[in-house]
Amino acid sequence: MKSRIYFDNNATTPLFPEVLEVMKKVGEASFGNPSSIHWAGREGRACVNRSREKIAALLGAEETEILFTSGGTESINTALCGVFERRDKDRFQILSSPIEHHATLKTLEYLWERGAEIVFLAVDRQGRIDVDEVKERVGPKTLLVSLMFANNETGNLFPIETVGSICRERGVPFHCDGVQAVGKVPVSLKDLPVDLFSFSAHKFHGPKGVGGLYVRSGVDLAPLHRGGRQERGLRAGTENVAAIAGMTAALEISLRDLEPSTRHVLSLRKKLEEGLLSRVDGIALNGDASHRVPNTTNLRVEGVDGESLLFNLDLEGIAASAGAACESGSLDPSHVLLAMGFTPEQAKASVRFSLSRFNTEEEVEALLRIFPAVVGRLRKS
Amino acid sequence: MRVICAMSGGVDSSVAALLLKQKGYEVIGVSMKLSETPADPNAKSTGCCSVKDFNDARSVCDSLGIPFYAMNFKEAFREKVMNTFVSEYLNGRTPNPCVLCNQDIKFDAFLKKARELGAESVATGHYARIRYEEGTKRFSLLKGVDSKKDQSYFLFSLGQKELPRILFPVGGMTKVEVRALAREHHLKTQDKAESQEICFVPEGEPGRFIEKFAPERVPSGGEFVDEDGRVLGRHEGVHHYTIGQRRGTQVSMGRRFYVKRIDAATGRITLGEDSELYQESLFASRLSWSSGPPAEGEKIQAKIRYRHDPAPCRIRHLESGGVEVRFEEPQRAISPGQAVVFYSGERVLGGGWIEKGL
Repeated sequence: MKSRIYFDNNATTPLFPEVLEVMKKVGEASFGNPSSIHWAGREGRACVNRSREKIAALLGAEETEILFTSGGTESINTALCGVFERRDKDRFQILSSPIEHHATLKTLEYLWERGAEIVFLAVDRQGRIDVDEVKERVGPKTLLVSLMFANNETGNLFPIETVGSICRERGVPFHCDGVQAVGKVPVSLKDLPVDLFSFSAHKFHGPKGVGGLYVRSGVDLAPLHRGGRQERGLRAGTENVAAIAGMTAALEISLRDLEPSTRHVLSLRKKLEEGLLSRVDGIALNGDASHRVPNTTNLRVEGVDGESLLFNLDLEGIAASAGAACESGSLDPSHVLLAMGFTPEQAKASVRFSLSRFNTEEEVEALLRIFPAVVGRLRKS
Repeated sequence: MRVICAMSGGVDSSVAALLLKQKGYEVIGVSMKLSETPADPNAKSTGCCSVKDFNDARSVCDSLGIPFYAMNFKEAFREKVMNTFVSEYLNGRTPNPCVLCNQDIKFDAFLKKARELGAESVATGHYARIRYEEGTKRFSLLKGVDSKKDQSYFLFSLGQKELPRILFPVGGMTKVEVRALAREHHLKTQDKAESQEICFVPEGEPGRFIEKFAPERVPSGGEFVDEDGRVLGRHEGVHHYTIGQRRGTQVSMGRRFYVKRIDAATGRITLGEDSELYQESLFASRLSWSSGPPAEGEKIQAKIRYRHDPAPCRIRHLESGGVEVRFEEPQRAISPGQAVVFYSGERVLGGGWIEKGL
């Protein structure tokens, strides 16, 4: 059996073992429906409430500002559609970027079909926006600004504080897609000028199917779907109690050891990047190298088809990623790299490695051995 | 030895992968994404590339314990196969996209991808066989053993460059045997119906596909005429017609009319009765011979479309590089744009593209 090496942590992360324990315990003990009035319901509700308190504290928010959802996609949909539905008639413009996740882009497309005006900020070849353009664009028509904290493909960070301050000055709500940030960089919502903030548990070693949306008090949102009065009427449906408890535990662990694990991940990435750049010709970093989350590297390998590269790495037991998989599982060139001005050929020649605290030096060394040989073969055939 | 098996999500390629696995190959299953999935999930499966087909291929690979990948060939397929298909129709010809797909995608682009994955060979679920001839030290392409399923027609352009690197594991079996083997091994695709149509042309209506694919190139309607140039009626564009077709030719003359000739430049379609559709010879160009051309005058057989019984004929090489094919018996509806494939018994000699019936 080949060794299995997982370098695709921006897609999803392995569970912390402690999280599984918590979920098992909660799933057994607190099975009650949190909306029920009896002892079983009380236990379920207590568990959800405790989780909400903890998550609020860990992210620097108020308890009443945290909404539990089924994950990043639902959080983003709730934020964008929820604000749109409660708009005044003279505010209909949403400002965003072309390198957002599809959860955002497809929701914007949906809102555009329903009369919203969507404005995409220009991004340069490094994937950076121009803050001056934000200043120019945010005006009396602007309903909402939505930007990601960190890009899932390049790891690049947007200037969230600056953009948020501009929005705040002009009284425009700001949604930040924090899915790739939480658990990777410190986030304190009370210090950040954001009004809505999406996050997802499985990106920080929590379970899939659960996430959250921070809704600053005073922001008026419409719910995405109809039903019971759970989550202050903003998210109908019985709470996924065990998953919520699991997410809470995952966030606690992630943030408890954030500093040492960041150092570890940074040193692995440095070794990986320096190793590959020195061993393989015609390889370059995509994006803004100096403003990134610590775990992500996106490399362009000239003359190589990223799809074949990924398949070869997989055959050697190494999991990495590139572009966007469609429903059938085949890959299309990354819309992020295309929007940054790369040609389809360059975008197709790119591959992403995203690390986590569970990766080791040995794993990076294995990649450094295997990668040059694979690239050599691809360039030859 | 590593082999990449092209998996359509059908029973033939599923069994191909199974047989290779049993023979001890290191098999990797690959589905080729050739065109966009129809937006309507209830649309009839279009031969391949639907999500269901990919999931079926994936689950067969899972049950065989082999890796599965979906590879993106959309651009190449669009350029080499769909574009040519449309251009041919608009030129009044009847194209054969399956031959082009084998020639330019499966046994060219895909073969290259296989090499990138460290495999020297690719396998497919085609009903055809390849034999190494000790005497000539060359590879021959042979008909599949199941005469009803034989797909060698679609593969005629494969030569000595490709044949050594291809495996057709089910070519020596009948469809009944293939299904039985699939059942025996509980493969998910054991009872799956097979695709008959051109995979990217839903409902078998090329005209409608062309109107969607290249709306700016769709010709306006034209006239139906008879052999003497008398106008019999109007039609909705040459891209809806193919030689020998009856559908859409209803002109009220009390007789059954068929498409006899299509002139794309004038938009005129000549109609005639069934008996007028028979011709004794044809002219073909762009020939390829997998083991060199046969001698002139040698009695061989030719197939002028996939569903055609090989007909005895002799060929004459022309200076232009093409051939004139003379049949012993006149053949019905010789269609420019289709492939003519030459056989000597079960062996494929080669083939070319029909320019004209004479």
